[in-house]
Amino acid sequence: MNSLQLKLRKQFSFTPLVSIDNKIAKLKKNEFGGLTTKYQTEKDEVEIKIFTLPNELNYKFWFLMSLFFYIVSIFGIFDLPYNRNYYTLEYKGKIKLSENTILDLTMAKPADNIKAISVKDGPFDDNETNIYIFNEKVKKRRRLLIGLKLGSWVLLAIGVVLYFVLK
Amino acid sequence: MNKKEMLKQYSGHLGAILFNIGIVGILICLSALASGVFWIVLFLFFVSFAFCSVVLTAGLSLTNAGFRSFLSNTFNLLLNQGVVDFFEVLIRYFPVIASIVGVVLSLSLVFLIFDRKNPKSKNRLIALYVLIALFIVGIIIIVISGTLNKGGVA
Repeated sequence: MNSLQLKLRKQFSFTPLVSIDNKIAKLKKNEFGGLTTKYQTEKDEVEIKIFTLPNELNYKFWFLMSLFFYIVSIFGIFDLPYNRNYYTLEYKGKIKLSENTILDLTMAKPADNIKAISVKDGPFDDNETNIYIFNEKVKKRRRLLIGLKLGSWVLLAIGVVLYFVLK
Repeated sequence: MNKKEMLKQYSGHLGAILFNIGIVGILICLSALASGVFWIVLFLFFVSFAFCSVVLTAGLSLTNAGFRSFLSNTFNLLLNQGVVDFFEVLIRYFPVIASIVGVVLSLSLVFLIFDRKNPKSKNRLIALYVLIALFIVGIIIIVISGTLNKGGVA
């Protein structure tokens, strides 16, 4: 039986998910604020994915859904702020296992053209997927939504004032 | 783009909005419950303060016009019909507000369960489980106290 002990130091702005052989791993926080998981298998090699969820504004119906959430959340008052992180990570690699494999990884601060994950210890497959992907489209859409939200609040305030003045 | 993942994220987002609305609703419910208690506490504090100040000064404090006006103004404020009406409305509509909050939080739970793999949704779910546990305990207490009261009356 082979085992993999994965330690991952994440960045504050990121909430990474880890899947091993296409199963989402349960990550536990350790005493140093990092994430750990253990996996046991008979295989000599496993496929590991470390990824972040894509931003909601990246999807096809982003505007309709934003409008729906804006209405449900009563003019956006109870809505969540959209994630300011425009970077995503979609790392995928194969790890060769032994009886007690320890993989100690650290996520770098998101930036263009840098390695997303660096290895401290263990057999890490450093390939072309080990990079942050910047999404300019999401940045523009987020700014547009914030502008529209502020504009609607200003219009609403003007409407309320006019209502009381004309009354 | 994974459609299932997209639906999960949207479900989590909607659940989070309903969770936020539910939390504000809970605060309104608590303030409705506390407002009556708060008024009683204020009133008792005022009465005991007035009583002590008169007794300890052997009635001399009442000779002061400023003190007399302070007492009468505070008394009028506490018994102001607007304040009493406001508390009454809050208490009268408490069952309605509590029911709406219950429905909103239940819907929130349903939507958040679809996105339970997301750590942020997971934290909200834990908070919801605690709230639901407290809600059930509250109902049990109300039912038991109601049964006891009925038993006492009969």
